[in-house]
Amino acid sequence: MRRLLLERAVWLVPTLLLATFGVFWLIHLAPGDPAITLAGENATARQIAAIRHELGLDQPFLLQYWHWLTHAWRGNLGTSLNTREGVAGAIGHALPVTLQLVLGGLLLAAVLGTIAGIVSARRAGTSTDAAVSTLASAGAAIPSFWLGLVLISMFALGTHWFPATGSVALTSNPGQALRHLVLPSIALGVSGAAEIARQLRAVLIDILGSDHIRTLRAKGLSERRIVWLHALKGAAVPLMTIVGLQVSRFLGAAVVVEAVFGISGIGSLVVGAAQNHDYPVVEGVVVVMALIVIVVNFAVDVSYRIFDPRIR
Amino acid sequence: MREYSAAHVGTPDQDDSQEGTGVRTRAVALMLAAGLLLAGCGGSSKSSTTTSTSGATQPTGTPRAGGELTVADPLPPTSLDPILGTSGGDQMALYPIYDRLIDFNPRTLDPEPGLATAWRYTSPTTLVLTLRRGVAFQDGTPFNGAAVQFNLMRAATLKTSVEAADLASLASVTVTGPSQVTLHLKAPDAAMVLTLADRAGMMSSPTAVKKLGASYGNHPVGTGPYTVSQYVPNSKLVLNKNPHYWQAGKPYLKGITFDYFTDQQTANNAVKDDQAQVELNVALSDVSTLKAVSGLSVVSAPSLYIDGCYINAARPPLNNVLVRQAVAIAINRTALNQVFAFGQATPASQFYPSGYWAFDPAAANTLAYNPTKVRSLLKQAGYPNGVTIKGLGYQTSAEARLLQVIQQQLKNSDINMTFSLPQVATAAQDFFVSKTYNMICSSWSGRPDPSQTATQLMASTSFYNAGAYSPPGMAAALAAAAGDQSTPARADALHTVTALNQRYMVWLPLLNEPNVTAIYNKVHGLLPNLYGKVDVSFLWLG
Repeated sequence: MRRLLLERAVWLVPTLLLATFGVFWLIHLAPGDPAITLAGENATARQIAAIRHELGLDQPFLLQYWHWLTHAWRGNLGTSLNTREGVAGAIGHALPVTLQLVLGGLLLAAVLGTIAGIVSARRAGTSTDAAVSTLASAGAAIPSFWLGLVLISMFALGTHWFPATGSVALTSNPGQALRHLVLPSIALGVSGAAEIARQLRAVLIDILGSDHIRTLRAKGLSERRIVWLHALKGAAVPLMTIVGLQVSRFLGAAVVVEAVFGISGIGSLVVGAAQNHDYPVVEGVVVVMALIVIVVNFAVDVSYRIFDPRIR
Repeated sequence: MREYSAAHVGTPDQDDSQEGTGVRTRAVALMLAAGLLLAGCGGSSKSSTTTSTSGATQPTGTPRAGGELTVADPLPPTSLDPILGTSGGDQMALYPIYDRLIDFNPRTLDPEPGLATAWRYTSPTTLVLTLRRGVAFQDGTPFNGAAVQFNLMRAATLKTSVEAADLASLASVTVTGPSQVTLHLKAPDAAMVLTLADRAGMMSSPTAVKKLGASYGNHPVGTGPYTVSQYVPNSKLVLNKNPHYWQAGKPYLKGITFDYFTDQQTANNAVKDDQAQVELNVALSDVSTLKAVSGLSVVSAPSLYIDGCYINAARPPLNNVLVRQAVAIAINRTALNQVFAFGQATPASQFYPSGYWAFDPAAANTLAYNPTKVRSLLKQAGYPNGVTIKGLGYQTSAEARLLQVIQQQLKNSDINMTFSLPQVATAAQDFFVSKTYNMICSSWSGRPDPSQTATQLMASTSFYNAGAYSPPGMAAALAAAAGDQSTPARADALHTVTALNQRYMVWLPLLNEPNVTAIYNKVHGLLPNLYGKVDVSFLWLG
């Protein structure tokens, strides 16, 4: 385990360097000048130049990156060019909101996808299997923004069961937080549930047809025990891989879901920052996202060892 | 004829004893008068400005204190430091935090007392302000001449101040009495009074500015009716009642929360779901949808906001005045109004809306659609087989639609316009700095003083005049509009500016858009202004 942790830590540095440099380069490659945005209406060339100088945007590209990197290395992610807010503070506001949403979506995807996958695998070849598979295909194909709009229309504006917009922190008001979380979690999680269901079905069908399951059946174990205790354990490794992949996918998809539900998370923060060439914010988000993905991958690796002791 | 709904707006004012009658101290009678007057001063241009739906039946009466309000707004402020913000929508967040030196009449935009109770030009280059006494900033710092001097000089001289251009004529400020300051101008500037009714006149606490430095924009301190409790840029602004506000009994609400939505549909959903009780800056395309919501009124009021195209008159083929004239009359504004603005705007031939004192009734329909004349002008200009121009717009769905309609209309007159829709910063750089396009079609949100609009759109030195082109006589007309104190003389000068623009076509007016607010009937006191930037400070819950 320690070796795995060390390996991950070693890879973390080049991964972050590559990701931050690549994003920095892309932002600078894109047309537009944040100094013009900040200078506002009726700015003179002198004002724009003054702003560019004040923000260090008149320095060579590599020097700008080096300045950002050396500050970031010391834990200072800088200040937003547009809002003058500390990047760490901005991410601190937005990240819990997004993590709440991603966790909600992930929970829904894992529960729904696992149940659907098991039902489909146990009744492979039947009309139930066909129905579940069709629903899973539809779930994978439905765009999250469209589903979000439909859910808002039906369950927020139509019945007023759930709020149409916004989010509440779980720590401040758990009840309201869950009410706000239901619709965006469904919009985010349905495609993940479909993916998990489809993958799990395929894996379980293989496992349920294997020799050791036949032996368990011969010993008289109930089908329920066989599926939940034995087959599912065998499917745990691929299942964890899919769930792990969903985390990074959901972090990306959250951009759209946050926009539809008016949630001020990391997605809306980074989209606004990218549009305004606010590179300190974009870089800060990239670092945090990369760390999250690396931590999740590490957790998935650890889970392999728990579910399958043969993996070393 | 313009219509204006006074329904569901206005509050009886309890504070007539206060010195001055600022924008926030109106009576119902004034509102009704405003409605009637505006209804009657529409000129000849046809308008289908949307009016309030059900608000006419709402009770007004005595304002009640208490309650909290949530406002949905698709335009987040770019900074809460008034001299650093760059969006035309910033004022709606700034008004509850800051008082301005000069206020304005919401109907006419005539100057009215604010933090300055009186003002007079003692010479064309000397403006004396008498300041209100007994006012303090929200952090306890006294409001006085030194604070005014600090704010104005900061706005005029800070390198990153976006107000420096508006205060270009300001040479210095001296404190000339216990409650008096004198502004010394480099040149006569009649627009200075109303310049102080906008961002430049919003007074920040000098103590807070000095203490907070660059982060002041996230922790603003004014003298206004609300203090900032929480601000998450681009997301949320939470305001609490200022218990020491100088207008006794005001504000009425305990707090206001602005929720900012980058997506207009999401803002609509928030108000439809009653998560927000007011939605500012409603898109014209959403008016009919919101009108159908029970208990919600949609208030549409005339504003200075105008759709139009900024032209680079130095770049071929639009360096030829005949081609610019051809483009101007190749656009069918009546059709554009129907397709782009859903019939809710007014076709425009000048910068100012009809009814406004700077509007020239004699030049109301000068830029009427005339395809025959377009072909004749192109032929005279040496383009008998048509001409190609490069257009630009900002990357929003509304502007994409605007550009598409214009492109099709121009094509019908053999003017082929290609166009791009980059992000705002990119488009601004491409057009105003790199100058690589012929015209950018967007909008102008107006200024409290018409000279400001005229100067910023027409002066050869202005950022917005990408071709740095000045028609003969324009500089003199602009100087006359800013240099004279008399309104009729200024109006004459501004009419000359309008005539010169219509002849030489430096800026292409298209449609005057109304400002639309959606508000639940339980919320009272809405007072739209001609500036098109709603002040929610003194709303109250019934």
